[in-house]
Amino acid sequence: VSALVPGTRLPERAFGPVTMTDIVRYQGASGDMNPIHHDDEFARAAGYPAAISVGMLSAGWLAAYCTEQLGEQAVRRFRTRFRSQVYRGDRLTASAEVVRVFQAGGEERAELSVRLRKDDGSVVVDGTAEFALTRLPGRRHSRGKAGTMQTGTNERFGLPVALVIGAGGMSMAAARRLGQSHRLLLASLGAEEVTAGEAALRADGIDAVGVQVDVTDPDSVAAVGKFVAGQGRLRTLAHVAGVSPSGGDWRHIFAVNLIGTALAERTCLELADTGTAAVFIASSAGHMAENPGPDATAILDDPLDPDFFGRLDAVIPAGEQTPLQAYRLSKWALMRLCRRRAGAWGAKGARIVSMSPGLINTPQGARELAGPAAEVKRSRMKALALAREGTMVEMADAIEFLASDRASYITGTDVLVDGGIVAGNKRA
Amino acid sequence: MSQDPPVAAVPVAVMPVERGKIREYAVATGASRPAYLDNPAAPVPPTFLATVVFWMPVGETLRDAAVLRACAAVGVPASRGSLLSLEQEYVFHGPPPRAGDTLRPAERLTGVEVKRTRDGRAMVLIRFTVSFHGADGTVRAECHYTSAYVQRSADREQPSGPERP
Repeated sequence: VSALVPGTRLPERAFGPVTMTDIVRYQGASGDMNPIHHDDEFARAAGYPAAISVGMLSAGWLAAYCTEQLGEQAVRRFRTRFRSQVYRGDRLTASAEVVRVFQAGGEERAELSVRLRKDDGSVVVDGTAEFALTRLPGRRHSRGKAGTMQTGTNERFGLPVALVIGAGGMSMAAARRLGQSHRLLLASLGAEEVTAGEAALRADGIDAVGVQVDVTDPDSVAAVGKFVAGQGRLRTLAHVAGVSPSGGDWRHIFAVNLIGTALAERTCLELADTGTAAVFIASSAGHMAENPGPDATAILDDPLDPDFFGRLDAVIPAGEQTPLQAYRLSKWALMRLCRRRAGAWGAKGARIVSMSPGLINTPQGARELAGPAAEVKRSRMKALALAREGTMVEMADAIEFLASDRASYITGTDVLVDGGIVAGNKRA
Repeated sequence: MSQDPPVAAVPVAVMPVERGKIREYAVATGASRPAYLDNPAAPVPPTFLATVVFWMPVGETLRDAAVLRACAAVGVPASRGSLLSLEQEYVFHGPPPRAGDTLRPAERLTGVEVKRTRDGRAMVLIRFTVSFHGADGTVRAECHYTSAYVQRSADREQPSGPERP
């Protein structure tokens, strides 16, 4: 995942010439008021030619250099030895070299040999540092050397936080759009998907951080909730992750599309605040589903029941447990969930809506034309009011609107964005 | 050489991790970046926990009986004038603490060792650790200090240490 290998040298950074201002500012910040650092006479009485700089200031500069290159939250170990004194006027250069890349604490880390030296080559501070490689080096915007141009990612902490769950075509379309006005957290199941999605967004200048989640695992979803809470107030949730009929069996489709949705809804409600908006992606297929009757409805309304599948088995014959039916019912139940939970969200001044795309030109949508439900899809297309598939831009438009304050009176409902497919197939 | 067994440190002090203090420290160490300056939940810079001295005296263990015994045994004054800071190591058990966190720091002595400098003077090497505990008692971070009391030759003008002047 990482471009860092043993022997990789990070670009150097210059500090200084060291001034008394640098020294006293650090002394004030650190609380080390030893006069030997700012009182020349005192230092001379102790045998030095002049006031000596603070060893921890040199260590601090070296730390600033490392975090700029590798990420402010990535530090795991930072060890410095104080080798020689720094005086006013000294010019210093920070450098670092990767010693090894290893696994620890469930993450990939790099150990670096770090050094701050004077122009004459003498070492001021050296040591070792360990950083988690949660971010790829080079993606981070660093100051760079004078005269070099670097592009990078915006860091606008005034922007609200958006969580996009899913990393497929529609998720990324939503993430790109929401990333224009939010700091973005992209949560998805696959490590590669997360890494690639984060990299693509950051390459666009979006302040995106990827995080792995298994939406069907309560602990995993809770962990993401905790992570989101650490990033700031959650303004927007776009829950896009879903499995289409060709993507799994009865259980898997329900587990992701309904149980996963319920877990995300529960976790995000805890993070919601006045103005928070949650958009859950349902499907026009949910509108095609026949009402499964009161018994099945009661079960579908309680997807977090540990015996959810056992209860479903009791009311839906095995022969009817097809992937397509799982898809329709899970999306049908998702829409109900958003309606039923609107009161709880409203109590916090927050909104929850579902949005039902029709046939959309996404990679997953394209796969459906080759899957077992292809005939269903083709026959639906014949009845489209607008004789074409929808685009990801159109989905992003709708998600952005529903999440925005312009939709401030829209909650507890589903919005069809389907080119008229439901209207064409399900005439009243 | 004498080495006291590590004694479990019991946190008594409280160190709130303050956003403004992080800004100040980041600016003072050449780290004026948005991640430190603009983020309400900014992480602490790697050496930030040195500011624990605003919340708790650090270095109490330098006056520990075991340290004073070692100094007396080899004739090294356990005074501020003969004290050198040799090394500091910050260890983070997970992502670094953030603005808004509350830490409970505690100091413990981890080792006392008598050594000789390259020019033959006696020195007492002291290792101590300040651990920073979270609200649930787990250790979030630790700072390992290595300091030394070094014998100062009467004929030497410079109070030079063995590994640094």
